[in-house]
Order: sequence, then C-alpha cells, then structure tokens
Amino acid sequence: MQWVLNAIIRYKNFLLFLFLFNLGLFISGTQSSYHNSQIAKSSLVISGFIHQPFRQLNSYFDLADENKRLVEENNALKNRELVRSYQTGVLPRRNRNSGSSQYWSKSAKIIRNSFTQSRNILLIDKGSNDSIDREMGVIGPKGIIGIVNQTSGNYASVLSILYRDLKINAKFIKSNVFGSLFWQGDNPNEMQLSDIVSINVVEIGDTLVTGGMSSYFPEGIPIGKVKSFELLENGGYYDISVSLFNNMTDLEYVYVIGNKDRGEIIELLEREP
Amino acid sequence: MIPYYTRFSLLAFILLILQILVFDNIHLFGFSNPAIYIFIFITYRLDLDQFGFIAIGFFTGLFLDLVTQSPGAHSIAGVSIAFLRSIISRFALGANFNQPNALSTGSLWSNKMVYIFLMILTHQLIFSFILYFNMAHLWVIIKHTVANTFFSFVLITASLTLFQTKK
Repeated sequence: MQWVLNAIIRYKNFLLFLFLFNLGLFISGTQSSYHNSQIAKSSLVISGFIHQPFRQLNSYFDLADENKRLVEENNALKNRELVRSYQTGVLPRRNRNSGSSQYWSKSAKIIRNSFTQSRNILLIDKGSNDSIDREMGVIGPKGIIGIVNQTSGNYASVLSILYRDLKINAKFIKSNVFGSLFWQGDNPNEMQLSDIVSINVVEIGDTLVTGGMSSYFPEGIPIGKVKSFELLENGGYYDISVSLFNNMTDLEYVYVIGNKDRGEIIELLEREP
Repeated sequence: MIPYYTRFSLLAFILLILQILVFDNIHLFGFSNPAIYIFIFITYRLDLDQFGFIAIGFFTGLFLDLVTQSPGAHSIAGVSIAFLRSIISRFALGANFNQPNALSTGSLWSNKMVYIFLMILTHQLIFSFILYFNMAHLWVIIKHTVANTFFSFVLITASLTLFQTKK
C-alpha cells in the first residue's frame, strides 16, 4: 500500500496536470450539450458585465462614423417596414409572400464581436427581458449576422455565421436553387456554398438570399454575392465561394428577428406522426 | 515589503484585464491577437512549488475562457504550459533553472530570450490547436501560432526590460 501513496506523492504534479487537462477537455467537449449551455449561461453574465462598460466607452470614439451610418440606414428604412423592405427590395414579385407580418424585429447593440476564431460568438445588449429567445435570427444593416444561442436577463450571445459548425439555408434569387452555406474558418468576408447541382447555371456576381426553409430567418434576407466557383471533379456539384454583403468585422447595431408563428411551427415538427 | 503572492495576484489581475479589454481587440493583419497574459506564466517565480503553479495556470485560463466564451482552449493551454515550464526552463536556462532571480540578473540574455520564446510558442501552439481541434486546419493553426508568437514575444520582452531596470 505504501508504494501507491509514495507514487501519488511523487507524481502529484503530473496527476494534477492530467486532472485539470481533462477537466479542460471536458469543458470543450460538452460544447453543444446541456452542461455547456449551463456554463455558457453563467459565463454570459460575467462576460456581459465586464464588456459592457468598456464597449460603452469605446463607442464614444466611433460616434461620428456611427452617426453617418445610422443616418444612411434610417434613410433606407424610412418608409418601409424592416423585414418587408428586404423582401420587396430583393425578391422578384412572384416570390413575395403576402403574410410577412408574422415577423417582428428589435434593435440591439453589439458589445463584443469576434471574428478571428473558428467559432465566433457575438454578445448583444438585449436579453430575455426584451423577449429575445434562443434560436432567433439576427440581421445587420446589409444582411444576416447569426442566430441567438443563449440568453440571460439583459444579454444574449449570438452564433455568428462565421461559426464552423453552422449551416444556413440559402438560395439564388434568379433561379430559386437551394444550397447550404457554411464558413471554412479562414477569411471573415468569405463563405462556401455547397449542394448546388451542376445542371444549374451559376455566374459570378449572382446574389444569394436566405431560403425560407428554416424558421430562423424570413425568406429573402440578403447574404452575399458569388465570388468564384468551380465544378468538383468527382461529382456533379459546384464548389462556390460567396463574398458577404455585411462586413462582419465592424458591426455595431443589429436587429433580432422574431417569428410569431415559431411556436406553432416547432409544435408541428415535434408532433408524432 | 508586500508578500510575493499579493504582488503576483495583482499583476495577474492587471494583465488579464489588459488582455481582455485591450489585446483581444487588437487584430494585427486581421487575425493575430497578441497574448500578453503569458507574462504571468513566464515571471512566476521559478523556485516555487510546481503543484500550485499548475492550479494557477488552469484557473487563469478558465477565467479567460469564461470571459471570452472560448471552449476551454485557454484553460488547457494554461495548465499545459504550467506543467511543461520545468522542462522548458531546464532546457533554456541551464543551471539556473530553479533560481528565483533567473529572469532578472541570473542568466545570460540569450538564455532568457530562448526561454521566453519557447514558453510563448508552446502556449500558442497548444492554444490554436485546441481552438480549431482539427488537423484539416493545420495551415491556419500554424499561421495563427507564428503571428501570435511573434507579436506576443515582442510585447513581452519589451515589458520585461521596461519593468526590470532596477538592479
């Protein structure tokens, strides 16, 4: 028995290292599970508490630029309702759905933005007190930003579209062809579009908008333009690079999009056949 | 004289706040974040018990993880660098590896530089690797590691020479 104790005392540094290392791995490993969301919730409170005052101070320096941008944006939105404006502006007449008032929007300010990691998360200053809930879509002045991941009373974290495991349903305006859009983790202005079959015609400069296949975003929110494309050797699919309309690196104000019918849609999906 | 641990905690706290509020917002070339807080691991006295140091490494990293919402990368890098420091210091500082004054007067300038460089490189390599967690992104990992190591090295050596002028 003695030698076991001796060994433990002798290698205590290594054992502690192993224990804490695994604890760290456990924290990373549970990234999408229940435990992680609990950790994320409490860390969100700390994180928001620390970043909020600094961001407020910081935003004073950008006031002039920000004002100019707000005026620009206000101008564009002046006579139109936000979501509706995207659809009437972008989609051809046959695609407009008449019941778009099922969506409401709420403006929020970004207090922390990251774009250098492989899984980027934004923090915004509105939370469950402002009736913001998980899995709501977030859009910016020029197009989509991400999806709400976690909320506390006054803050919410948003999975940026620059998040490696996130796939977004997107379609071409001109042909209505659907594909899924994802980020490769490198350039913050560029994403990849996959699942487009080669019988479709793709040209550089084609505009992509959100498809209506998910309940996060209304149909027709702008995403970006085709930057380059190539036909994959082994199959009948295109590999398409898309440059985003939004500059993800200098965002300040965003809009959270809520879907009034979302509860109904989810209930329908979860109902047993 | 203020006790060592009080001074150390104060320094660590200031560095962490600086890291979160200032250096995490610096994006050199659009992707590189200098990691100034490795200063904590470099300057922690070399003669003190490693057991406590490993715990300090972990909790420093955990704090950063919680604040920056990163998935455990800071904790793992912190605990690894705390564990590997005895090996790195033995390699770089030679006979001085456990002297309390090894970083101020005790060693050759070149030895100190090698020690600091290896500490930052190891930390950043582990950090980037955990962050991406996929060999398919090896090129991005290397790019981030090299750029971050370079800028952190410049910043940390500069601050080290600034704060250690008194003999």
